[in-house]
Amino acid sequence: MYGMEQINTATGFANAKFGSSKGQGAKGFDEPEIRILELSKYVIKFELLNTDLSVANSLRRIIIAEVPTMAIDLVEVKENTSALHDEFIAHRLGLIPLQSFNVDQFNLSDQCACSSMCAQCSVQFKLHAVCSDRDQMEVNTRHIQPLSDAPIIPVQYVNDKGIEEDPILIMKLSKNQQLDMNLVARKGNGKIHAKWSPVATCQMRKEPIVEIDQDKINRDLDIEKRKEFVALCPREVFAFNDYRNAVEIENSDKCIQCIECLRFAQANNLERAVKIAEREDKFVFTVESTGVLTPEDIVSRALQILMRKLYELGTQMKKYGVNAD
Amino acid sequence: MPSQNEHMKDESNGNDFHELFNDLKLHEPLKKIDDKWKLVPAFLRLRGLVKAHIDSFNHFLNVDIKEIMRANQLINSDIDPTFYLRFTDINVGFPKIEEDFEQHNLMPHECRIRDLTYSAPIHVDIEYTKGDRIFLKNQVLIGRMPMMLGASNCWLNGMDHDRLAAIKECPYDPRGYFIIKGVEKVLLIQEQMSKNRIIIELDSKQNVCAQVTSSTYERKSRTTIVHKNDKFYLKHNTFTDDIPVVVAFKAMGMETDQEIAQIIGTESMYLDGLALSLQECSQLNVLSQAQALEFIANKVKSLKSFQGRPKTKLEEARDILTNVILAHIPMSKHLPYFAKCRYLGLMIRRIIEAVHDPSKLDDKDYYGNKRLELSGQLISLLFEDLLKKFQFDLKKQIDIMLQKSKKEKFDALTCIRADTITQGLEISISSGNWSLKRFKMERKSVTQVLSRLSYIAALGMMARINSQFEKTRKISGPRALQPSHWGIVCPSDTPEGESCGLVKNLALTTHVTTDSPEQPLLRICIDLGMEDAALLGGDELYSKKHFLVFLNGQPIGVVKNPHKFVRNFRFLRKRGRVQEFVSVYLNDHQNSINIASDGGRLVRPLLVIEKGRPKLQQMHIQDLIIGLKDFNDFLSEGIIEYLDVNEENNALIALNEEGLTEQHTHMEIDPFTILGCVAGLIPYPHHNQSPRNTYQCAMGKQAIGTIGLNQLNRVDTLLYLMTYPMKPLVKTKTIEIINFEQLPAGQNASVAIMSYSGYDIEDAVILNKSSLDRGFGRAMYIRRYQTDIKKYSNGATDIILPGVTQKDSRKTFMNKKFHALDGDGMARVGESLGNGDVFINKYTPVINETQSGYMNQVDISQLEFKSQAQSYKGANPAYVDRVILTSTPENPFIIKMITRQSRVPEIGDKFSSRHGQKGVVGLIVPQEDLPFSEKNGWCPDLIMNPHGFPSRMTVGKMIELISGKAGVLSGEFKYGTAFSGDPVEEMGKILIKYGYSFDGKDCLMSGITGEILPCFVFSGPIYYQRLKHMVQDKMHSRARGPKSVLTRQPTEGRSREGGLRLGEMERDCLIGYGAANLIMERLMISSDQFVVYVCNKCGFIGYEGCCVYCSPNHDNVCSVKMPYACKLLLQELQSMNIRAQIKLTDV
Repeated sequence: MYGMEQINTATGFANAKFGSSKGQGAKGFDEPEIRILELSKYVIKFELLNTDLSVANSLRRIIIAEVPTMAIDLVEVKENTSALHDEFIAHRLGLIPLQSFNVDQFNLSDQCACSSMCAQCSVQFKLHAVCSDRDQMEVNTRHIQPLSDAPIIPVQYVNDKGIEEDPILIMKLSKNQQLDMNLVARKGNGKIHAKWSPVATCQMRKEPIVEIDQDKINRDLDIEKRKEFVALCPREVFAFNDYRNAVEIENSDKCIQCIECLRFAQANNLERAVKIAEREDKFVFTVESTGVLTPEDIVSRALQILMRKLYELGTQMKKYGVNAD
Repeated sequence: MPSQNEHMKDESNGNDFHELFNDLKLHEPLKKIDDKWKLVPAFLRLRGLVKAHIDSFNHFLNVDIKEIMRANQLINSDIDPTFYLRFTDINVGFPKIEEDFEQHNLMPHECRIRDLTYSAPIHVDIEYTKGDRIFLKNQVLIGRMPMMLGASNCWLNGMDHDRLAAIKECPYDPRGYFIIKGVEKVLLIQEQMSKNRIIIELDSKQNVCAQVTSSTYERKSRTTIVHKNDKFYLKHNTFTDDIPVVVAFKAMGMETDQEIAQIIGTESMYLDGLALSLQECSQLNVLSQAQALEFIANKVKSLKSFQGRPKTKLEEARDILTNVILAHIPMSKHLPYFAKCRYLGLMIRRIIEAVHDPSKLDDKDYYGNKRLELSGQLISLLFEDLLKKFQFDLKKQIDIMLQKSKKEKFDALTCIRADTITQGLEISISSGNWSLKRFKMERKSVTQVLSRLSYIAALGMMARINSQFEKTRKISGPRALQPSHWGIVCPSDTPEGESCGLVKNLALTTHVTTDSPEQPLLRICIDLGMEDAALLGGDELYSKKHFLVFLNGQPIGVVKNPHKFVRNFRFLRKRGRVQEFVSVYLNDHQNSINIASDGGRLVRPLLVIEKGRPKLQQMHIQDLIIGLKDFNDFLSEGIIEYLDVNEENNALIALNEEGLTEQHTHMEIDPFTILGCVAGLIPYPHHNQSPRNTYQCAMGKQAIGTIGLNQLNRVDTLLYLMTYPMKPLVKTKTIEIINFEQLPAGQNASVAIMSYSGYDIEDAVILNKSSLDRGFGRAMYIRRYQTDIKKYSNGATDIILPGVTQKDSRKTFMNKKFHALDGDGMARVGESLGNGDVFINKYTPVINETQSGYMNQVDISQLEFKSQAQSYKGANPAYVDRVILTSTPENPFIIKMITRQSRVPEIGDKFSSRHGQKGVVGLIVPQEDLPFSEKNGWCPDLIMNPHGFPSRMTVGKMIELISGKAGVLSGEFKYGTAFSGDPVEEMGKILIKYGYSFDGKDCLMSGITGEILPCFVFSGPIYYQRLKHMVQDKMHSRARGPKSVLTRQPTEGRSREGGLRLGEMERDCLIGYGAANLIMERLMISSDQFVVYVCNKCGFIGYEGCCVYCSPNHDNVCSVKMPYACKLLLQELQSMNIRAQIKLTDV
């Protein structure tokens, strides 16, 4: 776990401003703001405040599809006597997450100055495995050897206690089978192929608002009914206070808008007593990295891409005489 | 009920004895026996499905073949009366092959790869004379028997997984098929009417008739008695005309009317019915046996006798009565025809009864009247025929040899040729034509190639029943689902269309019996107090006080106390004194007891109930699970019993413990066994509309998946394999039992049931691009190409050359289309083949007229060769996976080239869930555009439009989704077994427990705008199958392209790169619209426009500037545009001396 301040200084996005604040100003927002709720090695949870749904969703879409990473893109098979055939293995190799902290050093291969491949746009690996002395052998990401000193290597997962987990299994070889391949990793993004997407999931939700008219509920419902009301919610948003014998809101954040409570209220003629809504200016994000980038890095890169896009849009609009505001 | 509870308490304080026999306790609801269904896999280890084929073939190999030999033992010679050759024993060995004077064991996989036949030698022991001495010779080869995989003489029988793996065989393979020349062939189960039973029915003229199809080893014949104009006639195809039945009786020695009347019945109903027939006979003036025989002799169709001296008419008539009419009734020494007369009498009796009461007509479609013919019986018929042919040929050869050479030197062994039997069997099985000369039987498509599209397809094929009815007849009777199909035939699995209902599938626990001997049964019947029919006359036989006992359709005696007889008989069966598949059945309507031991009956196991309680206890199941006991133990303990379709009529069968009463005699093992193995894949089928289950049965066979564990070693012409198949999240017990989890065909897709974009109308589905990138629906397409390198009679051979064309062999550079070739002229393994690339660069010699002589050796260096290169066709490249070079005895050099393609789903590919809900891919959407769950970022792999539900009513699919979702959340597989399965209420509770809505609906957000979707979306995992239909194999268009030679019109069909036809109806539209120019353009200009020069004078087609008919110099010809086909027609007419003229006028 990282400390909060450390993150702020390290990435400098905690209170980042972006976009044209005037544009949103029309809707009456303050400066957009990000507040980090949780951060671990692979997951970040943060709030995006004072901005519009379109901005939040753009951020989500960019995280999934447009943050560039590295992934194996070209496999040259020299020897494959395994049970699985070449395309099969190549597909699996492509999906292996590679640590892409230095992805900025590389060019996209179609934008690179070189004609086919160079150190600027690709990283070479070698995969060589022979099963000679055992009945069966597992080929995993440790068998992938980098041929250059670029720090792009397959992800090695670490569990909560900081201990390395088993490397990713690629395939199994049985006796006297061997595998000899040259692998080339390239830069790309999730739009081209899912293997370049840096995230496992990127979830976004509006913060829910749950309000109950405590007086009304606690007055009109008997205790049994109140308990029933509390038990109804699949997400345990409500709690039953045993001292007061009353329904309370325990954690409105958990609400998934299943409207079970609303239905119950309607059935008991308490239409107005329960209100469920969502905040239009606050978004909770959970981004789970595949390990190719740190989660905070993914978000900051996504924000940069978004800013660049907005900037480009602004200049283009100006060019055609439209007021960018 | 509190009072009862108190009562119970009081009792339990008393002594234990009282408690045990307490009435209340007996009426307590029965405890359900857990895991009762485990009996089903225990049963399937021994019997059922494919085992029926194997059992039947084993019966043939070990029993039938010896019987056949015994019936055809002796060969005599017409030339030398002292000569004889006798077969004393016959046996079939294990599959072996001798090549290059070396024998080795032949394994099925080698046969598949090398195009060999998996067959075992048939050996006989012979005793024969040579000169005046008798010689004995053992183990003489007379042919090779194709061996059924898994039969008693197959290497695979009894092999464990490791040994199977070592010989590259899949342990889950159903077996029960043959391998003929490398092709897997299945003998489909044939459905037929019972043999040797009386069937009362209406003929085409609505006359009641009784029909018997007699079948013995020697002969098959059909005898009919018709009731026409209140008289009875005997009908048989050896007679030109119907014979009055009384004449037949007289011909068989029953000369007095009284005898005849007595054998039929002396009650007034029968006498009245018979009166006119008796009268007719006397009118014909047939009074004695001699007269009757003479009468019959005049009506015999004269047949040409092939051998021996010609018979007189009278002899022929007697012969027919003895051997042909009711051939299955044995003749006795004393009163030779009495048994036949009795049987005829019985037939007439039944007709009279049916005339008076039409409800006594037999139902032809009733499944108890059907018998299934399995591979063993079919092969046995064929083998007997071939053995006879073999012996006929042998005899002929021996006669020739005996005539030629001195008989002392002649050794009959030299005449034995093994080809007849080997070839005969091979040809019949590979072509599927069963032609048996002796029975004049000709049957087509008895065998089919085993479908290896998926494991389920292969398994389903082994359980398929084909009936003999014509498919074109528009009758619903044989197609309908019968109550007697319950538990025997799968109610869902039948094809749609013309063969709907005629092709059926066995249910999971059906077993087909094989023949078992009758003699011990007869003995037991007599021991049980039956009086032999031979000692009784008509009055005693048909007395109301007695029940007539039939053994395999033949009346054998009467019993006084039928219920006791049947009870005792069943008791003996439970004790194992009678074979377990023998059925005994009491028919109240006919006052008869039917005992059946013949083969081809359908039986199924049921739990025995005594006094309203199953004999099966929980501890038995425990014993089964730990392997202490197996199914046979339960059978011998009388806990389980086999009932055939007829005997089920005497049983009251409870579905489950809840329904048990004192009257019940049996209980189902588990109701899901009424379905077959293919329908068993469907989760919650009892919630679906029934045709949907039928559709799934057809589609499950097309699903791409795992074919077998040896799939990558197989060499099928076409193989579809799934890259990442999954076990279904919602499984059924059938799925576990048939090993579908080891060889699955499909993937658990995350499905959102909602509308998206509009590319999802008409059952189209939307796919997630990222899911495809990660391997969803990915399949391999493996294809085999084959060539053989032939040797010709003149010594020339085909050759394969490295990739340089013949003509410019000096040029060293490789032509681009030869890039894949190796130095030996065959493509390198791993090479990519594009459209037009050559993969086997074969050349065949051009044989000129002068060189074509048979033994004419030619100078090979002088030969010219022409290219016969095999090139790859297809827009998408494929990789060379394997190259196999092999040989067979007939074919010295075979090249098999196997290519492979990886196929990612694309727009237009077909997908289906397990509920008959198929659809094509309408759109592939990037993940970020797809809706996602607010809760955890979940995003669907596949979106299905909810409009697919209301009309299809596939509620099972919805329940599958909920159960699947609950399974995912709780981390376990859920069951959707038919009639049981995990209940939806519980699944809903699990969903709630994990924080989901109980109805499976989630709140999703739009991936495009980020807004919450205005409704909740039903979403969760559903098992989806990718079907073999892919756009890549079907898409086709053409602008210009090849034309056919004869008509010069564009070719037809995708394979010939043909044009798309503008058909009649399309043409009609254009005419209706008046688009004349468009029609002209489509039908002529773009097709086969041709300019002909027509003579203005004679109207014939000439040349530019001249008309040959009028005069070569006549130049009054005009050019006319017409379709080439029209010009062709004109010339064809001309060639037939029809004058077709074209008159030209100015417009």
